[in-house]
Amino acid sequence: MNEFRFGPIRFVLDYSQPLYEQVLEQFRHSIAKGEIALGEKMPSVRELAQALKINPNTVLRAYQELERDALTETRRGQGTFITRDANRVAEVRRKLAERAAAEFLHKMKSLGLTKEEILRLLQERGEDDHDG
Amino acid sequence: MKGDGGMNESAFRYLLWHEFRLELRKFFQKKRTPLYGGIVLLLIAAALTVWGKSAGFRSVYVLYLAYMLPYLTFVISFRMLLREWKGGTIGWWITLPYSRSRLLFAKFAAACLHTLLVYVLFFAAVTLLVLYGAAIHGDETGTLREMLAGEAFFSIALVGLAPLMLTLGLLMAAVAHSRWALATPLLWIVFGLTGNSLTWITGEVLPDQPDAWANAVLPGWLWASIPFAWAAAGLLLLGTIRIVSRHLKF
Amino acid sequence: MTMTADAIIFDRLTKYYGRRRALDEFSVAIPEGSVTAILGPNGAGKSTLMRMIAGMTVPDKGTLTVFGRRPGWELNRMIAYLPDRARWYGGHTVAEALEWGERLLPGFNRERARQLANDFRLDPDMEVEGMSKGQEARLMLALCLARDVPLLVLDEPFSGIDLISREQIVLSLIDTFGERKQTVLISTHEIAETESLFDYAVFIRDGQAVLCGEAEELRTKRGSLRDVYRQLFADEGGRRHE
Repeated sequence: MNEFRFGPIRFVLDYSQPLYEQVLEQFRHSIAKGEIALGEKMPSVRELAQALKINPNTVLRAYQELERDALTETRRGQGTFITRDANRVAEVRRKLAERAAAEFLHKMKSLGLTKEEILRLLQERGEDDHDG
Repeated sequence: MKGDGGMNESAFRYLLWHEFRLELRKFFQKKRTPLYGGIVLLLIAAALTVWGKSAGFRSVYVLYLAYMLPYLTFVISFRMLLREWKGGTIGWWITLPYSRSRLLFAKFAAACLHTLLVYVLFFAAVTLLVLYGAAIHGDETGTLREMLAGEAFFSIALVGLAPLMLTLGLLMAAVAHSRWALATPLLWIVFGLTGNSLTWITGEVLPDQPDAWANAVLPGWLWASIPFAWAAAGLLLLGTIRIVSRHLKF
Repeated sequence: MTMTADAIIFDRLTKYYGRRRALDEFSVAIPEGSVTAILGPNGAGKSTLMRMIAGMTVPDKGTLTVFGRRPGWELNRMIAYLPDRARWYGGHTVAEALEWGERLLPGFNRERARQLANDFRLDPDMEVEGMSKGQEARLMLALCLARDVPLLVLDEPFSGIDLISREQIVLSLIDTFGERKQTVLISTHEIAETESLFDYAVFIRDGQAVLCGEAEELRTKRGSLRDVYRQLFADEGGRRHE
């Protein structure tokens, strides 16, 4: 486990899991949360590799995946930028939220809670959070 | 490209310079060496002063110290190759992208230059000592001529012998780190015999009395032996190249 | 990850030292352009492998090809090799060492060398004779990293080096990887600090390849390289694991 900061983003790398996936996920979350603004410039592969102390190829792989998801776009000679398409970001946020929800529901079901119990739990927690 | 051992002239010159300079630095780095040299000179001068007048002793006899030169010559080249192992740099040297012959020839050439330097210093020192001794004890007449004749003799003898001792030194360092390492005692014997050959040659060629030195005629076989000695040196060098190419143990 | 050609192919390499087998039918292919770790306990055969690549020693059986060619001094034009337990010429200063590299080592980039010496806090006038082990190690590494060659082979570059120097070396290596397309082979014990560097890993023991594969794939299947190392070599009697 190793923690690194790069600008507003906090990376936690667990070496017992594939690293490129972790970098990728971290970026997805940061983009979804708005930690990195729309259209903002991404760090260069080399910069990030240095900061995280990992092989640039690993970073490159994550970047390529982000590009494939259309979350980033590379402009010739200028570098890589976060997409300016707010819908894209919203979609990522939705997907991540769905995944988190699915994981949550899975856990609740395995504990044996019914749908009503889950909803009530959420309402109570929701109120607590607003107070707290 | 194949013909130059992968090496352009500039690279070879640099390597030669590197080998020569390191050896020189080592010599002066142990600040003791020039100091010891100075002390030895003073001791010999002192001995000359005290005993130089005894019966039968001539200052020019100091020249016989040249007997150690073949051994010194061997040591120069031996150390030049050995230091790669001793200094932990063998990995760097042996993996240089140049033919083994280029690498070894650079060491050989640097050792030659170093040897030349040593000989010049030796003969200069001897000249000074002999002249000093002659000046003190008053046998100047003819001493200079005798000394020059003696030095000429030794120089000629060494022209043949030095390359042989140099290549023997390289061979020894290589063999000691090869699969033939068990042969090194044999080589040490060869070293002893060859080094001693100067004594034998001197005995055969140089008259006992220095008075006769200036008029002595060098025998034909001495001149003839020089190309043979060089050929032998060449063979030893080839042998060393072969061993370094294929038979070193890592 | 798309790995195309193989830079190095070890094919049933066997090497005897007396009756002991330093390498025993060792067969592995190293992908071109990868940063590969050679991991294994002491005496496993790592240094023997690297010496063979550099042409210092030849196998008794089997074949070794590097970029399709046999190792030897001619191939060393393309290889920057950091030998095991290497030292540098005591009579040199840092500047003279860099000059040696520039005049004798193909692909040597003078600017890069100067930059590395700077990053490694090596003053040009510093004498090698009085250097600490860490400084000398950084100097020798600088001589290797300054070369723009297809293959970089580092034998235990972290051995006996202090922590600060090691961190500096890791950063410089990452810098180098980002800059040029190079196949890199590194043998090390210090797997904890360096595992994030590697694309590919080869685990060797008693002269045999025990496991090899892409680092990320190994992480998916078996955990960190450090964990895998422990799994494979736990019984090697308390090696210095970090």
